[in-house]
Amino acid sequence: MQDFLLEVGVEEIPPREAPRLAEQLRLAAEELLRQERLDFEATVAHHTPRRLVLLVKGLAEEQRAAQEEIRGPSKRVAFDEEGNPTKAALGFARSRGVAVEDLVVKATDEGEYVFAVKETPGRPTPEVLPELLPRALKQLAPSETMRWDDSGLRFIRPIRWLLALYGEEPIPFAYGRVASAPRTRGHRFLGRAEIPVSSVPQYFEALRENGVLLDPEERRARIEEALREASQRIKAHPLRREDLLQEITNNLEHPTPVLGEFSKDFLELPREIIETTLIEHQKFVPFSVGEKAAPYFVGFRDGPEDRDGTVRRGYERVVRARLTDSVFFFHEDRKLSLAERAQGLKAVIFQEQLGTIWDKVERMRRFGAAIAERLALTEEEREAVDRTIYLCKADLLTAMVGEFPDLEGIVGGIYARLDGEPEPVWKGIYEHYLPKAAGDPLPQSPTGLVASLADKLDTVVGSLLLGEEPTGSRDPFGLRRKANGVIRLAMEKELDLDFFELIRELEGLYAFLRRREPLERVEGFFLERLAAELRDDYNVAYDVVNAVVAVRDGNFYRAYKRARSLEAIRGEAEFEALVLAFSRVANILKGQTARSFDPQRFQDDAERDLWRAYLKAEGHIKKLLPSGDYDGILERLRTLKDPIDRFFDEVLVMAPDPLLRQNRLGLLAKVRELFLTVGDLSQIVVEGE
Amino acid sequence: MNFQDLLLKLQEFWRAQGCVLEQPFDVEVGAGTFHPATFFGVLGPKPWKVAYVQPSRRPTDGRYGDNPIRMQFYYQYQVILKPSPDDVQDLYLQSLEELGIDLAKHDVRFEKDDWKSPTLGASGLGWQVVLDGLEISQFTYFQQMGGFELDPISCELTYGTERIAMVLQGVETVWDLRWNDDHTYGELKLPQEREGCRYNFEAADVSMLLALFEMHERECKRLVGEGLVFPAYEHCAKCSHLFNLLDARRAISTTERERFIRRVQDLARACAKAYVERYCEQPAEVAA
Repeated sequence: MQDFLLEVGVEEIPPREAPRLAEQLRLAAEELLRQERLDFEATVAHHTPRRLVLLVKGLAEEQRAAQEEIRGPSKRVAFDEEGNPTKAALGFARSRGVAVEDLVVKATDEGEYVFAVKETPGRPTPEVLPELLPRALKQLAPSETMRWDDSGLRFIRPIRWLLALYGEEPIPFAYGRVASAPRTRGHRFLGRAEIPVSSVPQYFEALRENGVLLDPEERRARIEEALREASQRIKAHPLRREDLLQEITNNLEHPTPVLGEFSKDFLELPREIIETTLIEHQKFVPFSVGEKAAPYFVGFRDGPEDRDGTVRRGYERVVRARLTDSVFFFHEDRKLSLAERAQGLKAVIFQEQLGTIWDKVERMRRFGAAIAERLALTEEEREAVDRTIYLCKADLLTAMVGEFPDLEGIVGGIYARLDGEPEPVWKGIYEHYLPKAAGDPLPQSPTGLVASLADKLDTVVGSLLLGEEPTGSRDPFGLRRKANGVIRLAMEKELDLDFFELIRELEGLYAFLRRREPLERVEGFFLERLAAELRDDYNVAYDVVNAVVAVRDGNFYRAYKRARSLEAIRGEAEFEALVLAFSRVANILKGQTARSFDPQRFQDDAERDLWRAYLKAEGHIKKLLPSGDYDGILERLRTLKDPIDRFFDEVLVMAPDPLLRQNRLGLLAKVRELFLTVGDLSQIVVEGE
Repeated sequence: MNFQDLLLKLQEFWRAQGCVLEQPFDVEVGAGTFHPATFFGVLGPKPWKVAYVQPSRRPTDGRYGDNPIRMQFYYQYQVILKPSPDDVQDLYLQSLEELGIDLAKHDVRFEKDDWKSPTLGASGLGWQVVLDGLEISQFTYFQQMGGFELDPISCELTYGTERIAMVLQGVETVWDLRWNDDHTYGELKLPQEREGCRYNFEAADVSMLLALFEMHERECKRLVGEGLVFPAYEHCAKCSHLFNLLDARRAISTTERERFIRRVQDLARACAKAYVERYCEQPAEVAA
């Protein structure tokens, strides 16, 4: 048993890709080692921008021997009455290369059969690896690929060297035009260009001596430590943006901090713009004191400490140039107010058939008004909502958003504040893209909330009516994310409003589209997203999700509450009994169109009993419904369990008399309807069912 | 090192690597990629190594001379290596050392950059090379040009010569660069830069630019039809520059923008196609 090491030397891998590829390599190797019956203790993957490294700990010296059982003819065909092998048995044994006396008889589901048992002895590991390694590499799937030589190979960037070592034994193999060799390369500027490697432990030592910190966690720790030190020195807080810190970690083989400063004159720029300038262009970590930007940054170089300040001076010069540019954009942009700029949106196309951004904003205002009304906002708040929406897209025409597209909304909010727009308006603009992605914060202001809903609803509804439903990984308008955003806002902001009703009311806004998909498509899409959101982000069990979504309700907040109430009692025996009772109701109603019924026609006590129980429960439920007390409603529904069971035990629903049958089905339909206020309980999976 | 010496050093270095030392393309372009030595040179199977200075115009990058590193006119140094050699990164780093950049002292990084030129129908993967935080080069493995998948793959190295010189001379702005012992870059170029910006952003006659665009577009198409590949391509380059000027004048709306790009791209594709058909398809015949 020895350790196995594979190093794939690549020209600088984009920082987002390196960890993915390293992990893919690890998983592919594990899978193939298992297939090849090569036992191992553990696998570890490392990555730097220039190498993907796989370490297999405790890899067996040879494959496990395999025993393969090949089925032959049935016992009756293989042996005659005296138990002697027939021609069929002899032929089978010969074709499989075993002696006929070594055939065994085994029982199968289809009777007794003859089997040839073949032993494949294990091959030594160094013999298997040269075939296995190219297969593992082939499985790597970078998000983009390129060609670089005439081998036809495609990868994220050119592969330049391969090192494969089993203990101390080099494993020769080739991939594309590159052949493995017992050599690695050090850090570009801190190490030797070529380093012979004679064993796995020596590899790790050699890399360290040659300036490469192979373990991403070690690099990350260095970065964190550097930020702590800088923070103490300059008495300011680093902006610890996870994506930035990860990028730095993945992008450098030897991260070394460089603390830089810039002129306080630049602090006239809004903080967000300073931060974005430092991050987007330079990947530098910005600092702040309280709410204000501090005139410092930390950049990470790939190399030794910057003793004479060469790198620092370079960094500072570039930051000065970048901030000068941002000041230029800022002053250009400030020449027009947002309100003046908004008119320009008439010339910006949102989507060919859905018109300009101006058109979109007009629709958003209608959505905003309708939502504001349902949320019972004050007159003043409604005006602020409308102003927010009117101005919220104007920053798309600013030079700053042209330079930093990720700042859309934020730039608008800042400029609106400087224009003297009231706080609800500029805050609303600032927040109206939130949430952009899962895990994002939500708008805090009512104006931001309504504008965000209006924006997302218009894009989702408009696109779906056009038939632009996302398929697979194709979702150019980000409709899934936007619909998820609406649902999250509804749930977490406790918005007690029916979005389907809202959409139906405003469907006329899209009447200009020549061909429209039916509204059910829109509802179906939202329900799909609702199910996904409940399942993935709120960890609701799938059967509860199904029960909740099945009633096709556009009130997502209530859907969430219903799910919570069902989750709370899921698994209780008493609840399961209720589910079974309801399922009997639901099953018998399947495919039936229940009409009205007349209590006068009840014949059995069980019928009257159920009817009385229904009326009582319904009275209570009506009172509980407005506040959305679904725990209480479920409590009331439980009182129907015994009457339902008794009904089915004593009453023949499918009576031969059609009138009687209708009457009974009608009663059950009423009962079902009452249950559906919580969900379709027949979707709940009951133990032992 | 004076600015002009830096250009000479690059010439010497790449001459020693066996490159043809070409001269600039005499039509206004946004980058060295537009030079026929690159645009046509990377098409087809023949090996090709070339290097040259290319004066480049980027109207929207102008800042009236107020920005220390951004200008609407500057000098690129462009190298094409076809096929791309295995040690091309090392070669590039060696060229920096040749210019006097101590790689152990400076921070040199290859930062992911997927290069695309929609107007040329070209794309590639590679990096921007960043020296002490300043982008100094574009390093690209071309995958497509004029809509054609390339085989063999060429590597394009584009140096931002002023920026490298700034780091070497340790000056704060490009205008302070020493061109030679007697003159600064600013003395030679700042008046031209300021006027250029005023022209690009304020004075350029939009209706004339639009009319010229149409004329050159028509001419390019006509010449492709006549089998005059190189003259046709010059008109395609003209269209690309006119589009950039219209863009700087903000005369093109967002949607129209896409259409203009498409129109130039169609010209570039037509030129590339005509070139391939004429000069690459039957290598045996050409050889004879």
